Amino acid sequence: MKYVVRFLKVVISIVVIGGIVSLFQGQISGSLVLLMQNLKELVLKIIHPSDFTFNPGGKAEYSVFPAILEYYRFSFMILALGFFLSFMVALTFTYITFYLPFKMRTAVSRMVGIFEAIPDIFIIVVTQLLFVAIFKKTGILVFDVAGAYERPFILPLVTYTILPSIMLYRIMLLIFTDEMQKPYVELAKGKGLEKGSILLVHVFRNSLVSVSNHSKVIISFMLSNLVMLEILFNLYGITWFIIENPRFEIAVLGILMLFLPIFLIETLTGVLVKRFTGEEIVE
Amino acid sequence: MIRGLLGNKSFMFSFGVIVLLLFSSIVYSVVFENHIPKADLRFEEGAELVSKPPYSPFEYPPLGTDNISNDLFFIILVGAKYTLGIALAVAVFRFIISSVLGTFLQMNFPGIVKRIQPWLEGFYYFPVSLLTFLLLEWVLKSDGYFDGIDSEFTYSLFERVGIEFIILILVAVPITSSTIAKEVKRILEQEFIDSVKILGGSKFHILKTHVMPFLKPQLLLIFVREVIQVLLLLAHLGVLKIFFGGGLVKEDMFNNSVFVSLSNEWSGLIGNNLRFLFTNYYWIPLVPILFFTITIVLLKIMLEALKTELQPSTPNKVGEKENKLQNSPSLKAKRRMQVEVREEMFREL
Repeated sequence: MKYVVRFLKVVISIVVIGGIVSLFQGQISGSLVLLMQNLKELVLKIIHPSDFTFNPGGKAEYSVFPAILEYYRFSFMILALGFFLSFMVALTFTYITFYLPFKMRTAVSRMVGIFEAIPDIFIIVVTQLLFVAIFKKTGILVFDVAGAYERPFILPLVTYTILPSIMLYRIMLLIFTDEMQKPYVELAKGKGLEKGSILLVHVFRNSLVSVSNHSKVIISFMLSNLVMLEILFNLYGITWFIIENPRFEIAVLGILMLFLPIFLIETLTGVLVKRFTGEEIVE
Repeated sequence: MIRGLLGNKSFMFSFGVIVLLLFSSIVYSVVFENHIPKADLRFEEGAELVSKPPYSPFEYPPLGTDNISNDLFFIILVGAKYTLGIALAVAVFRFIISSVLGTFLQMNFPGIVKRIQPWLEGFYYFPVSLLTFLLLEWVLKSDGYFDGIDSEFTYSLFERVGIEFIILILVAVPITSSTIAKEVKRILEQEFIDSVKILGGSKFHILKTHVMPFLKPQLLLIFVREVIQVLLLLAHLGVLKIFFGGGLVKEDMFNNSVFVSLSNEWSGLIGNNLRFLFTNYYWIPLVPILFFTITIVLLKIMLEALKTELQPSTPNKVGEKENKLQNSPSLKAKRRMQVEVREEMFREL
């Protein structure tokens, strides 16, 4: 029940944001009547999704379904795989970091804090130029650098993973360091457990709650990076679709479609974490 | 705190570079009236054309020229004051509105704040750059294109700049106010606040004497973060071809009418020149992106320095005297020793 209420609240807030956006399209108006009218239309369309239309090339109106599904599938794959990969990369690096001498560890954590600030567009553009340069030098196109109807997958995914990895790594490093100071770690050490197993089994499990607490920030960061990724790589994904068809109803539909699986995964993690550690993720 | 920051090398360096950039840009506009030198065609002895613009940064240091042979270094210099100025102005307004709103609401109507907060979650899933793009797309872009009736903007340049300013400010206010409200709430939950209330301290007294000393350092961090956010947002909008104030319609060398950014503002430079990215003239869009990156990284270095400078004094700061004591070098060193010793212990693990 609690989850349903949260779900509805987020959905309604996204719809209301969409309604406010509608006041800035085609004219700028502060009319409440128009807002209500647009909101009503939007809600009706969400109930009957086949009513969503778009006009590619400004000629005729087509229903966004099923065209949007292909765009959506792609974006979702990038988002989900990107998150999974970042998590694994961050975990691996955290694990390695704890074997480093202390002085190096603080230096690394400070450096990473600065790297985190590098804008996504810089990383995307530099990666693209790098692979173009490799292509020019050697004649081998390692990965496709820009897409059209055939969407390149591997290079965008790798590029996409870099920043969230850094962010997750930093968060994990902080949380793990904090967790390592708890008495049970000392007990485990006293009992003769290996450092690796303490880290990966006990500390990891207990840190998962705190990491999940940060997941909302990471997801919102990843969503905003997704926009730039799809534009700069010319990937036909959902945010690309929204920007090509900048209408409030399509934007709301796209965001809701992205939110749905995120919500399901978040809820599932919440339930699982509660089951295994007995701790609850705070909102 | 200020003394600490003055002694912090990385903070002073970043701060110095940003101030220098802004200052030299302003001086350049006053003294040389934004004059942008043009690179000439290069001939060798006879009449043989050696190379023609655009020159790469290697041919025409430091940054090369753009497609119409303007010196990119001066373009960046001229644009710096607009971009940094806009970012600072928007951040200041965001910061003022959010801190007043967040603090006021949390102090007076904590119940309402608690009830509103879950409703703001939509903003986490609506990427800010996408939201701003949707809000500004008509005013600054499609309204200016030939849309069947006219190819003029409905609003004047002044109005468009105003509208963009307001939108850039307002998109962040809900989340930032909520962050500040949470911060105030955390302070109000401290035990000594109960004593203050029992002793009859009024709300204003609590705010002024007991909340502000804790809140101030946090607000400073939030402000720097806000400047970084605005810069990022401007860069994103540049990629999405939303130029500040909507840009001007101009004819390019092929007689196509294109939007160009006003006065070499950086985000406009990215948007205008992104089409050169996969050509041999890749440095034209790369240079403004690089400058955005440098500025943002410098701000981040400032932020980290501020954090380390503020950290030791935050936990249980009661009064100025105590604060001074806590910031004394010997105590700091001692605390650091303790931490390091603790760390060393775990290293053996």
